[in-house]
Amino acid sequence: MTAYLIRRMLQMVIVLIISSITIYMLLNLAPGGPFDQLRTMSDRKSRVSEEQIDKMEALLGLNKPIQMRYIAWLLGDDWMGSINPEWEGDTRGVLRGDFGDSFRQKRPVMDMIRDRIPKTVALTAISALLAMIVAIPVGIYSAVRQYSRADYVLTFFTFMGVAIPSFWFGLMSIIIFAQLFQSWGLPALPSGGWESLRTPREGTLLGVLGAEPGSFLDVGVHLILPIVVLSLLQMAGWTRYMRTSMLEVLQQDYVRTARAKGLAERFVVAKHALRNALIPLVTIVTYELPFIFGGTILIEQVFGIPGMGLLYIDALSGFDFPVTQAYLLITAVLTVIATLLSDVLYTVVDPRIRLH
Amino acid sequence: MTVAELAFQEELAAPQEESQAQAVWRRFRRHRLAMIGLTIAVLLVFACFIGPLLTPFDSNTIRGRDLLLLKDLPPLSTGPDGFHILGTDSLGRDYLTRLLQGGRVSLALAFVVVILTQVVGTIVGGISGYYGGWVDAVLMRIVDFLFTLPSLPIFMVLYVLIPKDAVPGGSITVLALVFITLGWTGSSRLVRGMVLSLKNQEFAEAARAVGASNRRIILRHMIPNAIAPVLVAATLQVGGIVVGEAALSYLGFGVQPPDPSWGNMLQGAQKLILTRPMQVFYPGMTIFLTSLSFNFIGDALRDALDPRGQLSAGH
Repeated sequence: MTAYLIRRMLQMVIVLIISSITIYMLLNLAPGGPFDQLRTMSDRKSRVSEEQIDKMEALLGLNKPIQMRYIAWLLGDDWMGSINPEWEGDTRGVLRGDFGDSFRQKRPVMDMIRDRIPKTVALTAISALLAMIVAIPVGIYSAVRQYSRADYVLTFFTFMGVAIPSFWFGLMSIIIFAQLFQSWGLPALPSGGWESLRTPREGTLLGVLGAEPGSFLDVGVHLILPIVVLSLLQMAGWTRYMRTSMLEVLQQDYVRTARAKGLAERFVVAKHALRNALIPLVTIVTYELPFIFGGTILIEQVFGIPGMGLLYIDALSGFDFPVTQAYLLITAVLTVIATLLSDVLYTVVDPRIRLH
Repeated sequence: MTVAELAFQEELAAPQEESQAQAVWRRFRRHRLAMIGLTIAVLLVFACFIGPLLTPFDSNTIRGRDLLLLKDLPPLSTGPDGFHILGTDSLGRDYLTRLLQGGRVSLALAFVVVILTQVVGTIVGGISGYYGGWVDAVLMRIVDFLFTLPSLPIFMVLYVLIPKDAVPGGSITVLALVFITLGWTGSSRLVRGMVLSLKNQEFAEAARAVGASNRRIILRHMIPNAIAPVLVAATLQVGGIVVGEAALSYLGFGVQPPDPSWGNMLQGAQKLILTRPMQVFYPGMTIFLTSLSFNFIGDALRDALDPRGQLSAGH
């Protein structure tokens, strides 16, 4: 196990180095960079001369050779003066927690993401939890009552959950639970945002609860719709998964033995079958965490939640590469960790599986 | 499983003259949801490809333009009336026409992307499975890697990096390229698995014995035998692409206005969510119906093509 873990860690580091190179080179070498638009515009009125572009590039440190820029991004350039005095700078590099300065906002990327990461992580974690809490019992029920009416209905709903565009579901939920509820005189949910900016109006759920803007309760109520919407896709997928896995386990010999010795069916399912049926689900849940993290992009756009997703949208549309690189690198780290974790969990919950 | 077994027995009992296609259709028809799905899908495709020819409006004509000289501008976006059945959008364009035209874009994009990704995936999977060795190792590592990537952020960054003016068709082509670049992995795995089990069977050895080239064996013997699961995967993929297109266009990283698509119409409709909530409803509903229909069709197709349940053990 230890040897396996060490080897996987090494692989992880290598994959991350390759990913970081890919991310950096892809963004910095591809056509369509921050100044390409200016270049193609240069025959029109808004003419920007080559010298001006060069000046701007020098200002952002884009005039150095690309491999040096990559190294500076990763390790910082405060030590580079000893190689070439011209390259001396004041960044400390990604590995020392410095993602550089944003092109557009001219302030450290780290400052921009510091209070955004917890929001996106909260969205991801809570909706994954919610999806699991629903998927496990529903999947078991569906499997135990295979081909019953309830099973068909639940299977139909999982089909819908997989097919429905989550962001449209989010928009519709705003119309129903924020707008229509308001006009029907029901306690309406907030239509978006992370917290209230002023004292909530009478008649809304927040008003009824008397939540202080910015309080835990306030944030919690704001997150109800986004979390439900975000968890929907995984909920549907994991329910199907749980059903399949439970059906497989229920056919196995040891389950028949448990039944044969006269145990109550409820006990057989809950004690004997469930443990083994959960193994595949646990791995898929861990494995899919980065996908939920990525999925928050849509949900944050729908509900106007200032998390990592909205930051990424802004950064991409504005060619703000330091911010884009930070987002993609964080995603890469998450992905690699989640893959490793799901492999390791697999052995922890099922000692029959040996890792090589 | 019982249904599949029944189907198998029925197939054995069926008269010999029945062609394979007839048998598949007979098994397919038994799935009621899939038949409903097929009806909806056919109706949607017809509506979107023929509908825009029949409406008296143009999807890009801005009504406000004629009215700019008037003093009291009427609101550009109107609700449904006898004239504009679904009303007009924020620029005064007929919403029904745009919905149908947008469906054309969304559906055509999905069909083209699905066909091309399946072709690429099938070829890569065929080569990988047939040759094995280091070719297989390299190709499958790439597939593994692409598989672990969270798709949405990667799609977005690729979309930004491909220059829009360099390709004919602009943003629509770019979006298709993004989907094709990252979408072939699933079917390549599928075909590779099939080829691995096929390549040592007797008919393949017979082909080799009579001196058929590797290319011929892959194209003539391996891929046709692996076509059934690819067809199923392709059908199931249509819904995914339609939803994916909608998501990216909604975020502004897909089909760009003035070209309508179901995704960018949702982006426009979100701004009118307070006054015209139904305009949010329609494009999403068509996306949802398309995706649901193709999922049902694909699921039934899997049963119909593979009555013994070999391709989907456990489901």
